Amino acid sequence: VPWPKLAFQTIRSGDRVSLAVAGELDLATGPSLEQTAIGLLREQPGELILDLRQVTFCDSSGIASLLRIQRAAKRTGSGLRLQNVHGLVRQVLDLGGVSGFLGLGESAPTLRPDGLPPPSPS
Amino acid sequence: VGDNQADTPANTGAGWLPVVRELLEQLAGNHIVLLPISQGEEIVDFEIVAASPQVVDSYGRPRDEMIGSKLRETYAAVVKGEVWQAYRAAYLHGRPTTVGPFSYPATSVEVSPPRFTVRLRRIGDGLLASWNRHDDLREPKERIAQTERLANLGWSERDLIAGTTSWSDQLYRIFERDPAAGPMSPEEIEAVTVPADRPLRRRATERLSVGSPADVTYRIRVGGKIKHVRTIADTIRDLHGRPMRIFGIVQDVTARVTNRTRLAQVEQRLHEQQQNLAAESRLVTELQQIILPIPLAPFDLSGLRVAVRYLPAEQASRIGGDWFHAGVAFDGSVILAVGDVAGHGIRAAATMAQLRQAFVTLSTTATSDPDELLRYLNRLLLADPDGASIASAVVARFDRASQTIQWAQAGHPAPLHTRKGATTQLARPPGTLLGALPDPVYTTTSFTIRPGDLLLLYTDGLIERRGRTLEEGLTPVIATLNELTAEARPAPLADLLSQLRRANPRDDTCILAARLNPAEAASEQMADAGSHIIAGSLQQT
Repeated sequence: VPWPKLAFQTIRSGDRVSLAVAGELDLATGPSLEQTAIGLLREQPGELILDLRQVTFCDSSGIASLLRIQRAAKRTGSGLRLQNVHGLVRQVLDLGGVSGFLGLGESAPTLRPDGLPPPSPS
Repeated sequence: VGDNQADTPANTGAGWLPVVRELLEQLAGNHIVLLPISQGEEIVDFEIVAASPQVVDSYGRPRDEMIGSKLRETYAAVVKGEVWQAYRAAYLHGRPTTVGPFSYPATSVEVSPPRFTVRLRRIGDGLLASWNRHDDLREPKERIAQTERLANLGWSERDLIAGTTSWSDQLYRIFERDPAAGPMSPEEIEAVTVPADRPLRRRATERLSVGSPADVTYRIRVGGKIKHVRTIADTIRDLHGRPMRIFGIVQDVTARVTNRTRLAQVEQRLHEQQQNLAAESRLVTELQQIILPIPLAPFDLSGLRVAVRYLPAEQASRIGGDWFHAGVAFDGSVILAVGDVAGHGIRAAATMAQLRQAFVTLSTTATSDPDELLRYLNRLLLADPDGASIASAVVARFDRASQTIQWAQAGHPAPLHTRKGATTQLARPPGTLLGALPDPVYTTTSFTIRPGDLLLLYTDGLIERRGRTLEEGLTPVIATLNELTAEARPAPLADLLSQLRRANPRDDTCILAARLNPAEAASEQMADAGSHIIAGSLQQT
C-alpha cells in the first residue's frame, strides 16, 4: 500500500501567496501541510490562499490541521482563505461545522422547524 | 537491468532481488540469478533475471542479451540431462550443488565443445548459478586488468632493497592520483587516511614488519570524498628471512561498506518501527478494553433496548479514538452517545478515555441536555494545553414519559432513523467539532420514537471510505436498516449488528443501535390499536 501523499505548489503574485495542495489530507499528511503553510505565513505575512482543488480526501484530522493553520495565521495578524473547496472536502468541513469559521459561508441548515426528520429519500 | 520485463517473475515483488543485483555488480566471473517458472506444482523452466557484469554464455552472448531469456528456450540442450536435474534439485531442495565439468553439445562450428562447471545455490526465491568455462581462451593479462577494474582492485609492490614502489593502474584510480606523479609514499598515504583510522593502519604496518600478513580496512579522503579501502599485504623474504618486498592488494570497498551500512540502518529502523507498532497496537487494544468494554448482547435501559458494536480498523495501528456511552442520567433519562477523536493510536485513545470519563461524570451528576453536554466537552478539549485534540460526537437523550428523543451533535454525522422499512438521516442541528472553536453553537432538536423504530448512532468509519462520498457510504447501511425493519423480526438489533460487520480498513467504527424496550412498547401497544407488524417485532431481541 503506498503511503498517502500530499503535494504542494507555491504560487506568488504580488504580495499574495497561494499554496496549491494536491492529495489526501489526513492524520499522516496534515503535519506537512501545517509546516508548509505556517512556513509561508512566517516568510510573508498577509493573506495566504490555500487552493484545495486537488484535495481528494479530508478527515477530521485534516480539519484540525486547517484550524491550526488558521490559528497560526491569526496569531501573526495574517489571514487564511480557502479556495476551490469542493465535493467531499466541502462535505467534511460542513459536517464538522467549521465551514463558516473557515470563511466558506455556512451551508444552509437542513433542520425543519418542528425538528422532525425530512421525508425519506426512498 | 530487467526494467522492461513488466510481467516476468523478476517483478513479482521479490525484495531480495535488488540486493542480489547490487551484489552481482561487484562480482567478477559468470554468475546469473534465475527464477523458476512453474506450471502447477511442476517447475517447467527458469528465467534469467540478473547477471554479473562480465558474464558470457556458451553462445558468447553478453549480459544484456541473457537477461530475460529462459533456460529451456535458449539452452534447449540443457533441459533433458543431468544439468537440468541439478538446477531443479538445487532449487527445490535448497542444497548447494556443483555439476560438471560437462560439455554443451557443439553449438556452432567449434571444433571441440566448451566445457563448464556450474555451481548452483538457492538464493531468495531464485537460484544463483555460477560457472567456469575451462577452456576459456581469453587473454590472461586482459582478464587480470578486467578483474582489477570490475572488482575495483589494485596492487602495489615495494622493493625494500632497491627502495622503489610500483602501483597498478587501478591503484592510481582508487587514490585518484595522476600516474605521472608516481606511487605515493607511506607518509603520503598516511596523510590522506582519515585521522581516526590512522592507528588502525599503523598497527597493520607494525604487524607486517614482524612478519605477519596484514588485512585492514580504513578510510581515505581523496577528491573531496571518503573511500573505504581494504588492503591485504604480505612480506616476501629472502632465504635468510630478510624482508625483500612488500606486496599489497588494495580494494575500494566503499560501495560495499555503504550498502552494508545502509542495509543495517534500514533493518534497524524497520525493526524498531515494527516493535513500536506492535507495542502500541497492543497497548491501544488493552486500553480500549479497559476504558470501553463492549457489551456482547443487547441490554435494557429504562425503556430502551440498546446494542453496541465496535468494529476495529483492519490495521491495528489505526485503532484509537472511538467511544460510546449508554447509561441512565441523574434525572432518570437515558443518555446515548458516540464520539470519535481525530487521530489514531495511544494519543487518540487517551483523549477518548478522558472525554468519555468526563461525559459519564457530567451526565450522571450535572446535566442531561445534549447541547450542554457538548459544550462541556468542547471546553474540556480546548483546555488541553496542546490544543491539538479535535473530536466529534452525537448525544441523544431519551425521555420515557414523552417517548421523545432529544439530540445534538458536534461535527458528527446525523443518526439514522428507521421506521417501517424506510430510513432517513435525521436533519442535523448546527454543531461544530469539539475542540475547534472557543464558543460554538450547539442546538438540541427532538423527535418522537415509536415502537418498532430503530435509531442508529455511529462513528463515521461506517460511512467514510476514501474514494467515495459520505452519501455513497451510507447507502449500504440504509439498505440494511430498511430490510431489517420492513417486516417483523424477533431480534432486529442482533440482526443489525451482525450485518454491519464490514470494517473500514482505515478507521475503527462504533455503532450504537436503540429501539423501545419490547415490554415498554407492548404496554404502549395496548392503547394503540397497533399493527401486527409492530407487535411482531416485540418478541425477545
